Amino acid sequence: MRKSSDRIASALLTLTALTASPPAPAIAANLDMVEKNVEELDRVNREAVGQLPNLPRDGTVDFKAHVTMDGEKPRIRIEEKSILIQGGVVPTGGKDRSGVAISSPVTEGTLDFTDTNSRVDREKPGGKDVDQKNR
Amino acid sequence: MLIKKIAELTAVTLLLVLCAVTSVSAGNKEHMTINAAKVLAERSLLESVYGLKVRATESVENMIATSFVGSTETKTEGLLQGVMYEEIVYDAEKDVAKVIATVKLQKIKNINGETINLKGKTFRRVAFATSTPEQAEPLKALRAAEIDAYKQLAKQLIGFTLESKTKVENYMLTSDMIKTKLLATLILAEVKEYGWRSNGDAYVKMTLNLKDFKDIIGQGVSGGARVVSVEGVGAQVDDFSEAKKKAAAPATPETAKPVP
Repeated sequence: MRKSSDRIASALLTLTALTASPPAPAIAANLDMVEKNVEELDRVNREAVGQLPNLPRDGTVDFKAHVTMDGEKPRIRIEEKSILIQGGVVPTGGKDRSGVAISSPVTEGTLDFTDTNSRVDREKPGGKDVDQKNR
Repeated sequence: MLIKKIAELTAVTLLLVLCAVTSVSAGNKEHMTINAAKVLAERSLLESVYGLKVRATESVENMIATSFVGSTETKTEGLLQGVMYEEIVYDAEKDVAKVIATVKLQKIKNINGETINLKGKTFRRVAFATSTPEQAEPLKALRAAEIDAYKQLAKQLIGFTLESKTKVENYMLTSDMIKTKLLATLILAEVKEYGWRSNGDAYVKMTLNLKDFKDIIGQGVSGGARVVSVEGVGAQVDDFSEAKKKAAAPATPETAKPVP
């Protein structure tokens, strides 16, 4: 009995608080909520982009991913992606396949800028081929 | 003497009739408000026990908040028997009613058409209603918070599709367009806490006990957590639309730079 009267009292208190306190339009509004949501979307998007290998310096990256939120942390599975490099197209990837083939890995070495080493020279008719010279 | 008595009696009768009419009129409003709260509490119970479908989309361009477009829809339609009203409170001055509805069921055919064994678990949901539009804003904010909580829960449990068209310039990311889509069915969601912050924003803390879920549905949910908890929020005032209008409006002659 006492429990039920307590409950009614608490309910009345809630109702009073609910109806007595007028809304404060300057503070209580949805713009803040939208801004937080946009920040969250940006964060998830950046994390997803970060999972893509070989991002081009200039170009567009389109992808489709399945995201599950684990608390604040997104778990991202890239399903489709397509990378377009400015001035050229990279082969697109299908589902769960990487379509990126931008360059071979960089190796360190000494480059000798002589006629024989130049690519132009190699392509000239009658020009000496680098490989042939090195043999 | 007799005439005086008859006059007195008539006056008393008229007064009584007048009082009765007044109380009937007040009672009608009260009943309507309480009934509305009962229906809303039943709907919430149905969403918890029978389940609901949640569909949500969001899109944002160039990371500008005013370009954000988001909508969340929920839908449920089912039969619920044995609903009890544990608590009914009516504030006559403000015309606001609060109803807590409960249901205890052994079995139910849920939204997916599966018969699930609820093992006599008691489900409890609260709802508020009013017949006075001026009092509706806090209640609408609370419902918005509830819907947001459903969406958050679906994002945690089922996930969503993210579509992105991102532009990269000089190794810097400039997001052009982000879209998200979510379509989920939720069951057994429980409201653990609700209320209004000092600034008027409503909040709803919702949980889904994965152990209970596994026991009842017979199907586990990935992830190590035993309970998934989320908090949904809802606002009373729409200043976002104002900001959007401002952003979309062309520059006025006062603000525009004069042409030399």
